[in-house]
Formats: sequence, C-alpha cells, structure tokens
Amino acid sequence: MTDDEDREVLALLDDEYARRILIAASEEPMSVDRLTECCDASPPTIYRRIERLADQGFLDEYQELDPDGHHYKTYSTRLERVAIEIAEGSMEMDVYRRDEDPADRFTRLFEDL
Amino acid sequence: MTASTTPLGAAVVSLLEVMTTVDGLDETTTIFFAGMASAALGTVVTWTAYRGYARNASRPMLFLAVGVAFLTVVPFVLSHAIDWATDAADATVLLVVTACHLLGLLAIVRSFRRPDSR
Repeated sequence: MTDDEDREVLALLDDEYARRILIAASEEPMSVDRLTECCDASPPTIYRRIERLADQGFLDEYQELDPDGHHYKTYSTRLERVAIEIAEGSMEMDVYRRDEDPADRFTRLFEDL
Repeated sequence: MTASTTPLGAAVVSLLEVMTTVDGLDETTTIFFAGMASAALGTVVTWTAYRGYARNASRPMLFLAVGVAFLTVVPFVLSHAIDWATDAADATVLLVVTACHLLGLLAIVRSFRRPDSR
C-alpha cells in the first residue's frame, strides 16, 4: 500500500460522515435516501463520501429495480477491520474487507439477468 | 463453462473413467455414483439459491432453488426410493424422473419473472 492510499484511508476514517455511512450500511444495504436520513447529511455530501468509500473498496454497490421501473443503487459495507502496526521505526497498515456472501452474489447476478 | 474445464469437473470425469475402465465397475454402479455426484452438487446450488432467497427476500431465487432441486436432487432420490421400495417398472421410474424435470424447468421459467414485469 502506498503512502497516498494510507493517507486516504486515514482521512476517510477521520471523516464523520464516512464513518456514519460505514456504520449504517453495515447492517443492511442502504439507498442514498436512507443514508441521507440516517447520517443527517445532504445528498451531495453522502454522494461524495460514497464515491470515496467505493474507490477504496469499502462499499459494495447493488443495482435495485423499483416496481415502476426506476433504477437506484444501494450500498453495503465491505470494510471489516483496519490494523495499524507501528514497530521498529515504521508504520504498517492493513485493511480487511469482507467477502460478499456467495448466496448474495448469486442472487445479485441472477436478478440482473 | 463446461464441467470438465473446472478442477472439480475434471476430477469427476476422470473418477468416472477410472471407475468404468480400471476397476471394471458395472454401468449401474457408475450411474449411481454419477447421479449421486450431481445430486450433491445440486444440493449445493439449491442451498445457495435458497439462502439467497432467505437473505434478500428474492422470490426469483426461491423458484430457482425449487427448480434446481427438481432437476437434480429430487429425481435422484425419488428414482432410487421407488426402485428400492417397490417393484415398479423402469418406465414408471423414467416417468417420475421426467415429471420432476418438467416441474423443475417450469419453476426456473417462473423464476425469470421479475417483480416489475408482473
């Protein structure tokens, strides 16, 4: 992991809204509307954080279909753990991401057919 | 992707070859083990689809689970149960198996229907 990536991970975790999104979406997949409510932030704020979180692979993205044919996305948290180890004059950071459950992946693929 | 391109598929195929050629097992035994292998793999797919239904409240996945079960697991179990418990003719067993396949395919066709295209 490069220093830039380390910095971005730390900056994201330092961000109040990014943390709220990760926590809220760790229980079940959430749409932007629901995240806006849960995190008490404006949609643009949420969108910006989602983009940064997704870039780091901290969120899974799902395409949802409304009965009236309206598409929207939901997000669920993939980030599980961040480990920072400082020893012998250097800092190591490891990020652990959750694997998507095969049953969920199968459902997603089948529903997208 | 065909079965023989995956390590598992290749293993099954070579196992069947070994069973029929080297060990000289008769065809009935080979058919039984091949049927058991597909029933076992069918159980994995059925179970995964069922969990997909349970976790995501996805009705298509429920129909898919039922469909795969009726194509793989159910005919295997039923045909051997009938063979073992009754003295039904082969034609009867074949009829039951074909009926299971039909039901399975109907369930899979039904699983293509999406909530938004009702």
